[in-house]
Amino acid sequence: MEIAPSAVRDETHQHAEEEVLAALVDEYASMLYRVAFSVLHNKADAEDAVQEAFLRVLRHRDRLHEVRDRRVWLIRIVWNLVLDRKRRAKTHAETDDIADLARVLPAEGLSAEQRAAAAQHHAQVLGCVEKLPEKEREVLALSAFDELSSMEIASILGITESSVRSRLFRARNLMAELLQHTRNSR
Amino acid sequence: MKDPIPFPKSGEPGNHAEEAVATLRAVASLPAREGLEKRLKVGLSHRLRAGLPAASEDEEFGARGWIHGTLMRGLAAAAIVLIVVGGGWGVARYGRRPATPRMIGIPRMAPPGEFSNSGAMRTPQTLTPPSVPKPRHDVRATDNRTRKAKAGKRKKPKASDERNGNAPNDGAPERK
Repeated sequence: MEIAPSAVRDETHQHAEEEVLAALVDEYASMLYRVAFSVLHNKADAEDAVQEAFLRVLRHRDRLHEVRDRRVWLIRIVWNLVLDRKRRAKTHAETDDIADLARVLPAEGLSAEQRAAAAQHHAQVLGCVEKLPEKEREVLALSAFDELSSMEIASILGITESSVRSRLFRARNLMAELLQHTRNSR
Repeated sequence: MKDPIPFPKSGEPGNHAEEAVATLRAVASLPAREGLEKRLKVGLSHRLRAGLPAASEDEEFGARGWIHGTLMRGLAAAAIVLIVVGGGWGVARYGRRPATPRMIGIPRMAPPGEFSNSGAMRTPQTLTPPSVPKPRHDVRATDNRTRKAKAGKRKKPKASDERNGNAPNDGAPERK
């Protein structure tokens, strides 16, 4: 049986696409997952978001060569996806998620008591972060990633670099006030 | 490299902000579950083999080429123009009011002793001046006052006149 040349061409093309995608997954999946997790605070949801982001990449694979900075482009896709998911899932309380997250944060070399105190502190901080205005919260969350420069954050959010800086400044001041207020009220 | 982040100037608030950032960094550094890449690759490969259409194929305009897209856009633009023009014509046709007759201003000539209108075609209608009612006169009182006034006007004879022999004429015929 003879194989048609077009079928061979399609097979080769598909293989090449798979290779490109596999390279993207290897390079950026971990980073994208962490970005998704920082917003969703849930491992399964974060993984789903990354999967969805790569499906979008798959859909736009013909234009992949046009993308200048693939890392920022991918983060932007994931960022929009997770924000959208979060908005839709805003109906249930997030207090339990935050408490769970605070418990899994690294606390090596601490006693059980100290771990409990650290978890409480993290929960307090994350609770205050949730109280921040949306714009400030977004910038603060992205600034926690050491890999991202303020210019890249600006590109992800679609704002100017100076806006990133001013929002970050506001966010830090607000966080300080909120934490101070929370501790004083206890 | 990470750019320097603007911190609040100093003191406790800055420390609070740093605590917050430290927590967020801890969250951001949490690793994914083992085998994330493998799971993603398997899923994507499966979708690719199942024939996930590229965005350029499943998009409505892209599937039929740019001509179709341009045609649709042109039709939409034409429809908008028609609606706007039709609406404007409707307003012009039914909403037109009968033209008010133009007033022809006749230059008013100022009566002698008054101000002129400086050649204005039309002058605004001014307020009607306040009318002061005429005072009512008591007829008898007026007569008495008039009589007294007349009596007061009558001249008394002066001493010089008497010396000169000019006696006042009291109405009696002069004797010679």
